[in-house]
Amino acid sequence: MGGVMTDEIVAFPSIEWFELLAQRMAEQRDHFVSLGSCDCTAQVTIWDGPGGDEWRCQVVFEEFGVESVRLVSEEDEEAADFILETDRETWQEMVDSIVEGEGRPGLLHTLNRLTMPGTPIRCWSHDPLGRDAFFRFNQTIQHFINNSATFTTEWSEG
Amino acid sequence: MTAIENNIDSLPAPPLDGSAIPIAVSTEEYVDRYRKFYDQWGELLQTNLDRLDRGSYHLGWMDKEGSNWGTQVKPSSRGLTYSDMNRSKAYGTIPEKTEFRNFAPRGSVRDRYADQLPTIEEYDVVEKMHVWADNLETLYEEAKVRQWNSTTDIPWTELEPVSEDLEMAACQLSTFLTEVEFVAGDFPARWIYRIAPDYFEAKNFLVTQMMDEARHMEVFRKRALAGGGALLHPSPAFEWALKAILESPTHTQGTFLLNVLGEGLVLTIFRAGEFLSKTHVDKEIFRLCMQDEARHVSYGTLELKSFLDAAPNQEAALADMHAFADIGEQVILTAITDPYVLEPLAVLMGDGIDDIDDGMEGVSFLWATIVEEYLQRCDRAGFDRREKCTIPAEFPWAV
Ligand SMILES: [Fe+2]
Ligand SMILES: [Fe+2]
Repeated sequence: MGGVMTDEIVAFPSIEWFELLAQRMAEQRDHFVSLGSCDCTAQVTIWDGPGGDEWRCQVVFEEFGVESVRLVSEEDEEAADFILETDRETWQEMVDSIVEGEGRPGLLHTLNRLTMPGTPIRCWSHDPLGRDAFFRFNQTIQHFINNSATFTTEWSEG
Repeated sequence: MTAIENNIDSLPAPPLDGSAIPIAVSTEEYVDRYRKFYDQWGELLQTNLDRLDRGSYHLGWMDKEGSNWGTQVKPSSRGLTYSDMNRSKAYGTIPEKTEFRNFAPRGSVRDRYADQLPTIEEYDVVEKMHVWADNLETLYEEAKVRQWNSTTDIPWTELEPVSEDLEMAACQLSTFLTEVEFVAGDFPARWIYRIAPDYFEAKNFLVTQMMDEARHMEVFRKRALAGGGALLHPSPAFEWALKAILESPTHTQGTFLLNVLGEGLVLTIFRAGEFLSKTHVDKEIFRLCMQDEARHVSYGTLELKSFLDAAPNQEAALADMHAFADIGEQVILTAITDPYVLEPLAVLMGDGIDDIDDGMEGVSFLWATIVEEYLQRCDRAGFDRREKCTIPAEFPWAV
């Protein structure tokens, strides 16, 4: 991974936070090409989003980049191949671990590690084939999130 | 007669061979067979020799009658994929049943040659429902671009065993996975050559599965040795399950047992392996294998659906699949109750042999996940095993 720390500061959770990761993915196209194409729609749900409400966004991965990042509501859930849902604190712990590892999470903070037991992150889908997409593209999605080490995240209060 | 002789009769007879090398047929039988077919291919040879002798051209290959000449096949943003090619009716019509048991490409000018083309007896999988899945083309493209290399993509130099019991557990798990990966490659190998080439998308995808399994076998063999440990014990119980997979009566049945149940189970073990990893080396191995395995499971799920949707007598097809699943689940149960598989997982879960009891609780969670995800995939394929499943939903461990 070739991401370097910048002086950008972005709040989490926000569309901008995921758009910045999408921008990094585009900047590191060669690296993501080497991991292979990734075609799926991932939804991130944060139980305690801004204002204490549930916050949902969908990241649409297409080939070697992100086609769109969009704010969605509960009714849009079926458009997602899989949904990763948890609280802000879990994301903060995960991102802190990635930052500490300079772009690589510690053993206890990979996406698979955090989702495997169903807690602290729940990965679920309306369709078992959709959930399998989380496994099929896991390395790409992990490296996508790993770029959170390239900027500062502001952890806003709910 | 030409100077180029059509001279099969003057060929010497093969020597009789009494050695025990593995053969498909004896040389004598092979030669005899091709002499018997001589009426057919000898006539073609003679015609060709005569033409050359006359110095004349045939140019039949320039006849576009019956061809799909001019059909536009346009690449998409990612290049020219099978999905792009198959968008045209000319090339994308997949026959429900094919009469072509030879190598003539689907979409070529082949009808007029039907009487002259040889029949490959081994091409006996001639119906789409036995091999097709609606995600085949997507998975094939994905498989090609998501290959990795166990030699260079794993940070082997970072591997430092944590303790002897944990390393033994990692080595035993690697030994077991090496065993499993053999069958996951050999099962498709057993069928690829039987699938009629009209279903080349399926043949091609299965070749990627074989490549994936070769890499998995390679990476787990390397993992067993790389930490200074060893390949440990094979599992007779698991090998009975592998044998049952390999010898499945039909491609769909074997794909169900291997890709849906077996690889669904292995996918959960890979996820657990990543979860339990004590080193980044193991994390990387399991995460990369997980991706490949999920493709195989996805193919298996929709292949089963394709069969059940298209079977002419659905009731009979379902009854047959259930009868097969009844025994299939039992052999898989024989495998997953084996201490050579469960105990290393429990040691890794418990963070050492001293806490193997705690580890068994983790194994109990894995068990429930494996069974539930299997049942969900069966549901997705239109194969309801919920009332019939012979693998207990809960881990049968007395505490
Ligand atoms: Fe495998
Ligand atoms: Fe596999």
